[in-house]
Amino acid sequence: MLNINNLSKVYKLKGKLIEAVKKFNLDVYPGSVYCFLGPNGAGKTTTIKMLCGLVAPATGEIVYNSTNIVKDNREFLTKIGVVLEGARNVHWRLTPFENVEYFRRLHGLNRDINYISEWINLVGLDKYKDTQCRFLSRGNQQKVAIACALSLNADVLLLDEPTLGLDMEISRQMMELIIKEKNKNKIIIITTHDPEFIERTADKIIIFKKGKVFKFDEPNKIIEKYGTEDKRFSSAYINLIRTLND
Amino acid sequence: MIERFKIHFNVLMGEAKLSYISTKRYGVNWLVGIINLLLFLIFIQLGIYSFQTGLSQNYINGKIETLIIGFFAFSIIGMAITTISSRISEGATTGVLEHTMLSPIGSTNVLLYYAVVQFLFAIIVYFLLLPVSMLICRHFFVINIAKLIFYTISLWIASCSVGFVLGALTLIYKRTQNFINLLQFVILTLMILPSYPFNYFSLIPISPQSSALMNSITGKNDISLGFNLYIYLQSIACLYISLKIFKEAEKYVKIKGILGQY
Repeated sequence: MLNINNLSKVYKLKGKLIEAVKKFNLDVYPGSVYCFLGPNGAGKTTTIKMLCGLVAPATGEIVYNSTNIVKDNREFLTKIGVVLEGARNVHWRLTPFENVEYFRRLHGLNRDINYISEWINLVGLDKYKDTQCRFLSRGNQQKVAIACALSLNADVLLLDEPTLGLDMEISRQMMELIIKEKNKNKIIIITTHDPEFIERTADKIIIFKKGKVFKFDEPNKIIEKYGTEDKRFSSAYINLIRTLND
Repeated sequence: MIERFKIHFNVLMGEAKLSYISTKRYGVNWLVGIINLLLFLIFIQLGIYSFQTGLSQNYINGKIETLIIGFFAFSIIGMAITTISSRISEGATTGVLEHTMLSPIGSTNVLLYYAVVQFLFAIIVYFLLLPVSMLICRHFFVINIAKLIFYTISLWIASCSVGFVLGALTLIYKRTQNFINLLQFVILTLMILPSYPFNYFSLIPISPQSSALMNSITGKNDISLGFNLYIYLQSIACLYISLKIFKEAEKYVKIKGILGQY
C-alpha cells in the first residue's frame, strides 16, 4: 500500500512562490488504477515526479510498505516502473529492443532476450525492433517507453500521460495491458487527458485544480454527477473541465 | 549480498553495452578518432627523429617516450574529466537522464560504471595503437606495463573526481559543457607542476598522480612506497568528496525541480 500524507511542493519562479501541489493526501491500494486528471499546470506531473523521487517535496511523506520513501527510496526504486512526460523515456540512439534491455539493466535486471522480445511484440513494435528510436514516430517512441516501464515487472507503475501520441487502436491495446497489470495486484497511477482511457481503466479519479485535489471519486460517480444522458465519461469530463474553469 | 552484486553487475553490463553500441553505430566517428590518435603517435615519433642530428639515440628515445606517455596521461585525464558531464548532457538530450537517477543503485554508481567502461575502452585502444605506431616508425621502446597501469589507475581516479564535480555543475548549470574544452589548459598546468617529491603542489588533485606516472615511466625513477600510498589515498579521498558533491547537486536540482530540464 502507498500512503501519501500532506504532500506539497513549492517552486520559486522569478521571485514568486508557486504552490504546485498543496497538502495532497491519498491512500493507494494494490490492484487498482488511480487516474490523475486536471488542466495543464494543475500539479499532476509534479506529484508523479515526487512519487518517483525526481522532485523533492517541500513537506509531507510518502509511505510504501511502512517506509517513508521521501527519506529513503532505494528499496522503492526497485519496485517502480515509470513513464515520464514527453520524450524523456527512451534513448534515441538505441533500437526498441536495446532500449528495453538497457532500461532493465539500469534497474539491475538481466537481459532475458525472450522476455524482451515478448514485450516488443506486445506493444506492436516487432516490425521496428531494429530501428533506432530517433527514426520512430512519437507514438512508437511512446510504445517503447511503455514497454521499458512494464518490462521491469514492477509492483508500482507511475505513468505520466502514457497514451500521448498513440492512435486509437494502440491506445486500446495499452488499456488492455494496463488492466492486465492491474489484475496482477499492482499499484498503478496514471495521469491522462484521454476520457476513454479513464472510463476503461480507472478505479479512482483524482481531479487536480491549481495544485489542490478538487475531486476524488470513482468514474461512475463522476458520470452520475457531471454526465449527460449518454452516460459516457467523455461528456462528464467536458462538464467537469467547465466547472474547473469557472 | 549476491543479489546486490547481480544488480551492480547488470548495471555495469548495461553501460558496457551502451558504450559498445554507440561505438559501433557511430563507427565512422570512432574510426576517425582512432586514425587521428594513431597519426598523432606516429608524428610524435617522426617529429622527434627529424631533430636527431647531433643528438644521441638515448636522448631521442627519452624524448619520444616522454611525449608519448605525456600524451597518454593527458588523454586519460581529459577523458575522465569530461566523461561524466558529457554523459549528463547526452542523457538529457537523448532522454535517459531522469531514468539514470531512478536506478536503484543510485546515479553516482551508474555514472561511475559508465566512466569505468570508457576508461577500459581507452586503455584497450592505446595498448593496441602504441605497438602499431612503433611498428610503423620502426622504433621500439620498452614500457613497464604493470607500472603504467598502476599509475594510470590512480590518475584516472583523481581525474574522475574532477569529472564528478563538473558533472554536478552540469546538473545545475546546463551550459557548463560548453566551457569544458577550456580545461585542457588547466590539465596541462596540473601535469607540469613539479609535484614529486612531496610538496605543496602534491596536494592538488591530478598533479601528484601525473608526476608519479611521468617520473616512474619516463624518468625511470623508483617512486617511494609512501608517495605511492599517498597518490592512491588522495585520489580515493577526492573521488569520495566529489561523489558527495554530486549527490548534493542532485538533491539541489530535485528541490528546485530542474532535473533534466534542457
